[in-house]
Amino acid sequence: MIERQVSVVMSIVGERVVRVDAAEKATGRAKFIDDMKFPGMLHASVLRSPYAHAKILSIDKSEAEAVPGVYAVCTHEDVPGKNRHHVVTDDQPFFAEDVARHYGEAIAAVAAETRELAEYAVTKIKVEYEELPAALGLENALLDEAPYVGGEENIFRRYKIRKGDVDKGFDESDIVIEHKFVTPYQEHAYLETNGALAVPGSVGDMTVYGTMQCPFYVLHAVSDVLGLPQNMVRIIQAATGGGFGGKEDVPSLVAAIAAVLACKAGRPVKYILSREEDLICMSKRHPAIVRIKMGAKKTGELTAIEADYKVNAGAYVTLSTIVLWRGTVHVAGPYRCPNVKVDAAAVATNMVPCGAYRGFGTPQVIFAHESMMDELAFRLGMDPLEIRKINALCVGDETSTGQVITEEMGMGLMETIERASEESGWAEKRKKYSNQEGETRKGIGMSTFLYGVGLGAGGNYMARAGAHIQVYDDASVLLAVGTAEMGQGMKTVLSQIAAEELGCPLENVSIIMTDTSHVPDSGPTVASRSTVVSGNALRDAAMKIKAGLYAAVSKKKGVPPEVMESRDGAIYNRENGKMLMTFGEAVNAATGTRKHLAAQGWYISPNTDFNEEDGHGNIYFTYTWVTQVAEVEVDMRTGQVTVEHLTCAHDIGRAINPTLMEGQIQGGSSQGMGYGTMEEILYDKKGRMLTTSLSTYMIPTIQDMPDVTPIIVEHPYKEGPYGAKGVGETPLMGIAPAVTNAIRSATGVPIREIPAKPERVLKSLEGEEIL
Amino acid sequence: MIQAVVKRVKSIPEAFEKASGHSGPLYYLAGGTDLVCKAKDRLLPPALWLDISGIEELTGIKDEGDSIHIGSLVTHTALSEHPLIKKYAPALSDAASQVGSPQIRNRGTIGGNSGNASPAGDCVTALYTLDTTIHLECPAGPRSLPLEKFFTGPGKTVCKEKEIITGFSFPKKEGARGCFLKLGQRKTLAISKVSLALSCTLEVGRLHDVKIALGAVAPTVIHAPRCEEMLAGKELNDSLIAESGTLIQTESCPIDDLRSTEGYRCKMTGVLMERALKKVALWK
Repeated sequence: MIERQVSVVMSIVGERVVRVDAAEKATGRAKFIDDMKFPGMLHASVLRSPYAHAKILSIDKSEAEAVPGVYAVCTHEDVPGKNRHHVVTDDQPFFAEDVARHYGEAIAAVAAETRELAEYAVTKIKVEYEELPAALGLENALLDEAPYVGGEENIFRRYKIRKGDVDKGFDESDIVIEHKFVTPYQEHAYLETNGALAVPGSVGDMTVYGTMQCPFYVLHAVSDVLGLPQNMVRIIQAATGGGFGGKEDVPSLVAAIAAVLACKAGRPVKYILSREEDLICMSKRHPAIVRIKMGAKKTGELTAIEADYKVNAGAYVTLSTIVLWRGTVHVAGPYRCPNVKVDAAAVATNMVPCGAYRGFGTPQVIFAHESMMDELAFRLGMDPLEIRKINALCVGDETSTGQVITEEMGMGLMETIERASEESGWAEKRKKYSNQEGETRKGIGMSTFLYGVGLGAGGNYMARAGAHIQVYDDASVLLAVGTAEMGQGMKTVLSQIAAEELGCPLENVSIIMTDTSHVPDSGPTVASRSTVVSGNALRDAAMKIKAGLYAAVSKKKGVPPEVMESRDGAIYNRENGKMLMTFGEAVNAATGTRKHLAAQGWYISPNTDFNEEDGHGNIYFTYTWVTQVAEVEVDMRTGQVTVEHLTCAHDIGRAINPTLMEGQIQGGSSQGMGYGTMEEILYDKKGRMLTTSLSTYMIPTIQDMPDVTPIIVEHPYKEGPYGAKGVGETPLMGIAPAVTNAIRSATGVPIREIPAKPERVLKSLEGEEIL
Repeated sequence: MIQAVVKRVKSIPEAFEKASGHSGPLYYLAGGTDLVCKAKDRLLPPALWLDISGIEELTGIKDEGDSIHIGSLVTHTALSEHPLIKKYAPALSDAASQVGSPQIRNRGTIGGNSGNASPAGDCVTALYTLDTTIHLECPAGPRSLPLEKFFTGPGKTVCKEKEIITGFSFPKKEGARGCFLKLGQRKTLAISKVSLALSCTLEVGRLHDVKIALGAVAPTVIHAPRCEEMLAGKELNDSLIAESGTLIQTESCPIDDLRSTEGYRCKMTGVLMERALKKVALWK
């Protein structure tokens, strides 16, 4: 168990140190997979289904194989191991077999001397299809006449929560409101598209480099698809140009294709998706429909929440069940409510399989519950701020799953509400905006939510992480961890934690790219978990190393190890504050006495649980608490919404590096604003994606991005490294409802479907009841 | 990959000489902001690209006495900043300043914007309001025609094989007022959903020389002749502004597409018309 020390004086943790990878990224030295070359390397191109649903009658690859310069053409028949991508279930093939279930599903792949040649050869593969009726769209897939896609009557999975008695709750209420909310797909639009480079080894082994969040997922996939034992597969993460969830499960698909080709060709194979291909077939945020019914007293207290949450999972289960689970347990928001009933379902459709995206099934339900809180405030004639304060969870309260919130978890919800509203000038702006005339009107809106940090009960078995620290005899320190840097700043934060714990200068520390041969399976880099789990694993390893150092110092100085502490690059006697040795001298002393200055650290997250029958359980070990305030200007005649300012208060326990924390808030806010106001994936009637470039799939530019005021609230989590929780996802998550609530404040009109694009806002302003 | 052989030429005769020895697809490369994207998206066949960006005579903005001449290689940035354009074609400098992004404005040219023939072309929409003549040259010789006669549909023009757009000219009007307004899916780097250019003069409160063009609401940029006629010689006041906003909605034939809807576009022509008139009324 990790020694808990939240209140020690720290010299590196909490500092705004420069990112450890800033120079390599800024100068272009960082090696992305497209920068990597191996002798004899081939390039891959993939043939993808032109139909949303079709029987594959035959595949003739002979003409493609005959193209000079082509070394391998592979279909499902060429898979040496299992043609199944294991995520939650085993339903998704790496290469389609008898049926293609979505537009863009992989059918066959070519490896050739150049990318152009591979792309050409792909056009020579002849596939006979028989087009089948397709289930396109969540509601369509649930119709009686809908074609069968998967699961039980096109439902992959259901979850429920039953707490108290909602009928009784509604009876006791003074007001009951009920609405339907619709949320769209969202594309990650990472700067670097997905890709992998598979390099066959000399003993039948395979090494794969790639852009990814979860090297161990890729390890399992490559081992499965090649039928190789895991010790013959090595995954090395390349510099990764953004993930946001979009490189959680799908890099396994990409790596598996590259590996099968490399295996057949006997040469390294690089497969990098074009932007169009990446948009068409890689994962997205689930479109959702959320119906919520809320009951409350005149005074604002919630008496009952009943919700129905459905997501469009796409053609295969992939991560959908866990995404659905996370949404289910967050649908009641950060509010005290004795009676909660939630039913949730992941619906199978003949569309691209949706997966992880920053927030993982939660932004959809936050949009719903935060729109409802404003509706309730409006109907009761209350200030939206007040109704949130009245219902906000406090220490000792239960969440919708019956989990009691404790001080030890770190509970700063009320402080986020107060600081975000004060900093944004909530009271005075609301007053100022209450009576406006004219073509442009300003509004202010807020959202408040909680977010479970880590995998929670949905992924309890993976909630552990390893780390390796090696101290060299010149006192330099090398770190290896099992979670991944994808631009979020993990390497920097973990270097700070390791340096702090070892008491060595930060300059002594370097950290390698994640490599599955260096560290045991540490689970995925998702769920805002890296700082907590890898940070704690590093502390565990650091403590083992310190034991060796202290023993050596003790021998030389005659001071017992128990009174030693490491800080500011040296070891001190805690009792009299005297420096005993610098870190370098201690390392020297320890190597001279043959101490083992390398260690593996291991961290197991506290247990979490979830009862499938009633949805009760202590589902996360801690929560991040957030309040976001948006200020907008609405053009009443065009429906255009300009987000002018965002004030975002996050209780993240402890900011290991405030600058990186603020960066997360600014970037995530921008993605949240895109989700709320402009991002949309469009399909034609046959289920073919139309928005296949970043000139048709709109994401915000720097000109669209508002000023963001980040507020760091620190209520330490006892088990977190130096009190830290997680911040990776929350910055995005409540922006959409904060914006639409601000639109309502400006115009008086609720927006219940996002994105709040001008066409939709204008229709609402003109009184068209859209939902 | 782009399948193109790129050859740089220094003069129009040299361009024609290189072109004459070539059969098969030929494109002239200026700023490349459309051509390169189309080629990368495989919308173009393998072709010979003649890079005309170094041809001196296609550059520059000149005062020719009664008219202003704009070389086809003039960039959007240059257009947006040039004092002659600001003075005699404020709608054009306004439009040029709103094209794409700074990078696109620095490379993209007015000749390319016209040759691309997008019905949403921002500079083209502004040029429509200036009585613009487009100048072309092919191996058989030069010709000039009213800009409106140049475009025949989305991406389609009357350009003959091997013909080069050499420039544009428009008559100078003292006291020119004008503006360009567009609605996009975001603030920048967005193709217009609907756009409107207005050029006019205002004498003792009355509108003259009124030219209005609409972008992205028909297969080509179009004029709004009913509105132009209705506004001519009228006193610019609130009721006239409101009337024009209603009338112009009868002058376009937009479609639903990825960027917007027919109904929204139609309605927005009215809003943009009113706002454009308000802008010229408050001219400084």
